[in-house]
Amino acid sequence: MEPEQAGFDRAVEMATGMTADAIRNMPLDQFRKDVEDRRGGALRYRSVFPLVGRGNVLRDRLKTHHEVEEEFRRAVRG
Amino acid sequence: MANGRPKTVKELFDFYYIKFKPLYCHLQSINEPPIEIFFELNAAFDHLSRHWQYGQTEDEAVGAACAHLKRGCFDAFKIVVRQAMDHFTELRSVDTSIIDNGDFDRGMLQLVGRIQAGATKARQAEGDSRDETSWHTAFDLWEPVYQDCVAFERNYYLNDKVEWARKKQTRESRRAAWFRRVEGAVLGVVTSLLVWWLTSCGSAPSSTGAYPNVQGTDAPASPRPPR
Repeated sequence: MEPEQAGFDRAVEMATGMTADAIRNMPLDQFRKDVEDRRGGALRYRSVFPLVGRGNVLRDRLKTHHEVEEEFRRAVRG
Repeated sequence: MANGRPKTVKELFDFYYIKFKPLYCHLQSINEPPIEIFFELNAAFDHLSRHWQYGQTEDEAVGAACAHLKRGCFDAFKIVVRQAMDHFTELRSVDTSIIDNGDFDRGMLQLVGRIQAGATKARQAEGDSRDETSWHTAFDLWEPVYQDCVAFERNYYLNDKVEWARKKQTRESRRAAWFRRVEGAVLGVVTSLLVWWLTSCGSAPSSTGAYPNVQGTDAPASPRPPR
């Protein structure tokens, strides 16, 4: 395995608490159930646009390229 | 694949298992799965189906599909960065300079600076996902940032010493508040005593004051006003 990939896998393992191989092998719904059991509640699915996602339509108006970039800068600045 | 763009369905699924799925599971484990990532998956699936349904070549269909998967990975990186930065902001409200004689703060600021610079550079390098020559460039830039974010969470945000610093700060602020209260009460009492003393001195009868000395005389100190 390449060192970059090993570093990536190690980071995933630290973040999820499972080995990278186990994650790859586990069905997604099983992983979700495990996470929900650990958290004691259902996962929350929500929109993170415009920080992520392609397509520039946000319900009732368009977001300019500048606004999208500004959102990213705000997220990075913290 | 080897750092190049996947060209076959097998390589596409290699990419899915090596990069996409672990990142998606990371987002699930922090309860941040965005719906935008499902749009990317849906689009990837649609592109892939065109190879069989509309006679697109495998290379074309896989190229379009993996661009969406790659975009989904970039989205995951950004969400992880945002979370790390939110946690950094939270940590700034705690006086972490008392941990490890300031080494904790120095290390944390250095790491956060690296994350911010790396994320900005990687974002600028994203470019066109279908470009074969630079297909992996942004990935190479995003991955160290991702690893730094995970290191930040583990070594700084979830560090036991932060909780200790937070408790110490709370104790000290409580003590300071208590001292302020006592100080206020003492000042209030002293001021009251001073005012009482000044007013009693000013109004008490004295031998040289405005009131005549009536001791030893039968006469009243001042004539009574006629009724």
